[in-house]
Amino acid sequence: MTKILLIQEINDLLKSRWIIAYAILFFILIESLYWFSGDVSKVLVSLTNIVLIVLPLISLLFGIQHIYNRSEFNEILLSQPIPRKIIFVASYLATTIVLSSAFILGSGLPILLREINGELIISMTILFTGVFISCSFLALAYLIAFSQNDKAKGFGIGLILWAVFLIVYDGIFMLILYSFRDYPLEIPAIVFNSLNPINLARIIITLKLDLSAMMGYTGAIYKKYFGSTIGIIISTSILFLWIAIPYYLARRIFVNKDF
Amino acid sequence: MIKVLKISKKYGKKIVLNKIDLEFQKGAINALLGHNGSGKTTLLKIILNLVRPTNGDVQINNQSILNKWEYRKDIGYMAQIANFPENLTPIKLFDLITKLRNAQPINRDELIKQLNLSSELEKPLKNLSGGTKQKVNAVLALMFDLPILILDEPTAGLDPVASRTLKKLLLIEKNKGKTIILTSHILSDIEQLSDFIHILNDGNVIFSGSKEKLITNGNLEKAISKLFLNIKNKQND
Repeated sequence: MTKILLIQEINDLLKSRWIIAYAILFFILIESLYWFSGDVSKVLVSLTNIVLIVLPLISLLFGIQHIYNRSEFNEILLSQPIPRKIIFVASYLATTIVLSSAFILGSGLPILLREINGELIISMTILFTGVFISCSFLALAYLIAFSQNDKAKGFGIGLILWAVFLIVYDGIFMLILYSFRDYPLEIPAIVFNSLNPINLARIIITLKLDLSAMMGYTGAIYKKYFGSTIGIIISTSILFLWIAIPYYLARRIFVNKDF
Repeated sequence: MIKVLKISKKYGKKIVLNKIDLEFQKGAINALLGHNGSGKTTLLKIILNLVRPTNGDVQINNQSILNKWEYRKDIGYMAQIANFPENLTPIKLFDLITKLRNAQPINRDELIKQLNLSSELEKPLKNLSGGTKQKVNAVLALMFDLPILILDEPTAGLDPVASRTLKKLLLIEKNKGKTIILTSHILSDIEQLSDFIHILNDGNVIFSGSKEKLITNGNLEKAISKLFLNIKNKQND
């Protein structure tokens, strides 16, 4: 049953103009970066920024929109002899596969074709982190949309969450660092950083790129405490929790929800 | 037979259904009536486990169905709002539900013919009118020849010809011994189709019995008006 629903939902999503536009947008963006800069490292830094800023926003909005659009059809599916979990799993997998594929095709293809003998591992790290970020923010989108019946409120919460993770969180973090500057803050900084998937993604990429300018305070702490490889493993594991926990909570809400 | 036993449903402080008891008879059309917001759709959704009741139980053939899903293999459901994935065509939708149910849609082709859907089968659902989507919805509910049919305002949005065809189909289904529960605001449809009538008002059952018991004099509209007038008078007293 999962396979049947998964195939149907993937087919349906692939016919959406938004997904095609999403892949084309990334393709044009990366091609333009190569065309204008010609410098691989600059392209990779720009791609990192896209992964950290654009991907979370698109994943949240796309996921929330998808759930609200499908709510009445979900009612038809839920009236069939199918367990609720299967409907949820198929839906989440379909959106994740489609959105990640569009990102990989759009941004990965031009990079991989050029970097096949160059910065392949770094490129792969960025793409891999992008897929993780998509999975995490899609799970958060499902959590928001299934907890909030009001579409406008759902989108509002999504946008606020994105702004908090991207901007507000770092502001608060800096304020805390400044206020408690006389105390040792390395361990609290690592913990505080784990509570933001965008920061985790930034650390994974900058540790791999070894870009001290983009690493920031927590990135430097990760490197100091764990070294690059262990630091990447730890931050990837925590980022995985940022997929697993929202996914579990969203599924739980879906299974017990009134439709 | 479907038994609703002391079912309550609250949304926050709002009581939508208040410890109601009802029985829906087999081989009959059971009409569920009431004002907007009286709890009709909520009750249908509780029977389907789309909504979880706050208290009470629902039994089909003396088996509790709460928190179960397998029993829905015996139920065809026609939702009030027919909205499907935009890019899907009716024929692909029928195929999808057939695969999910792993059952034979023995009535499908006949229903498509009778509801005049043949020319719409390959068109994306986003291009179909509300009435045509409602016909697709009807085919989905009736195509598997299931013993229980739950229909939430089935004739709403249908043109007079399609509405007449659907009513005729429902009478045929009833004569096969099926349990049919439907809601409608079109009293002439209820009068024409139903064997048993159950009326909800503010989450309480104010009438449950045969059509003949309710309509003692005049027509259904008069009988319902009289019923509500009596309730109002009692409240005023």
